[in-house]
Amino acid sequence: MSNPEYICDQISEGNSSSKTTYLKLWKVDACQIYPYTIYAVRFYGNNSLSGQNLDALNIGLAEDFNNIVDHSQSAVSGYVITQYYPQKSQLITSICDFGVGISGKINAYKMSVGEPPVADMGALKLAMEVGYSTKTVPHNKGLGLPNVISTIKDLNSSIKIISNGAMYMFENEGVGLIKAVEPNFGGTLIVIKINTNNLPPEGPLSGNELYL
Amino acid sequence: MENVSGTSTNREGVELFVAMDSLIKEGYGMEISLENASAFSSSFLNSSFGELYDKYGFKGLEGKIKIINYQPARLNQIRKYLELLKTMVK
Repeated sequence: MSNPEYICDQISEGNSSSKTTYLKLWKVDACQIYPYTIYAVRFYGNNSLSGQNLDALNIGLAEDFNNIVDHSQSAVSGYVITQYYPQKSQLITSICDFGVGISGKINAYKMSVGEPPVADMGALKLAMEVGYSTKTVPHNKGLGLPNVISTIKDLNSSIKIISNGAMYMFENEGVGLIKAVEPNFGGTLIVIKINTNNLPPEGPLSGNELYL
Repeated sequence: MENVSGTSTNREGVELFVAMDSLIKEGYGMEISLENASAFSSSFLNSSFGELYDKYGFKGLEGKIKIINYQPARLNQIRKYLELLKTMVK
């Protein structure tokens, strides 16, 4: 942890009263990815959503933070805010950056390999395909955004992704929709609405052993 | 999973890869306890299990990685990931 790149502010517990339903605005950076996701999951797991499995929140946050750090080239990194609405049974998290956007990243990659560019909507479609990667990080396999979307779909919840001039929306049990939006967002915004009625219970540890 | 500092990032995945790789290289198998492990990001899985299976192949790791003390949701994440990896290798 001596590398200054990974030195981060201590995450404060803030007001951890069980009546508090929101997590204040956070500025995303590389060192906050794991601490923030764990903090958020514990915050709701120990309070409003005790006993429910919050993997969807964890995955949504971690994948989107990784995208910001690995791909966005956002000068201000990104921001996240999360709130639980008990009367609507919704846990909403919004994550945004002001970087090159999905089309900016994909078209830079396409140019580097001699392929023609695609429009914002086409780029968003590519980013949602399992296995499509711009190879920014050697280990990447193009699973991040598809992982978030499938996790949200599995819970019959909602996700909206706005990146530059394109938007993808999936709501409840509907069909995913991609369309053009104006004005150009100038980065990427992801809003996840988890229907907390559909969260599975946190299961007990299994005493079994098995080989992968 | 006490050997890794988190389960969200590539860097944390590399920590697990290095630990697993050092054992496999020496010809050992291993037990991985998922007690207290939180959900895995794809970056973490790519840099840990993904790298290991890329390096040694599914045949080369058969019977070498035992998972213990797991929540079914965590185990399912790893299994789904490995199934996806198999289809991507093809």
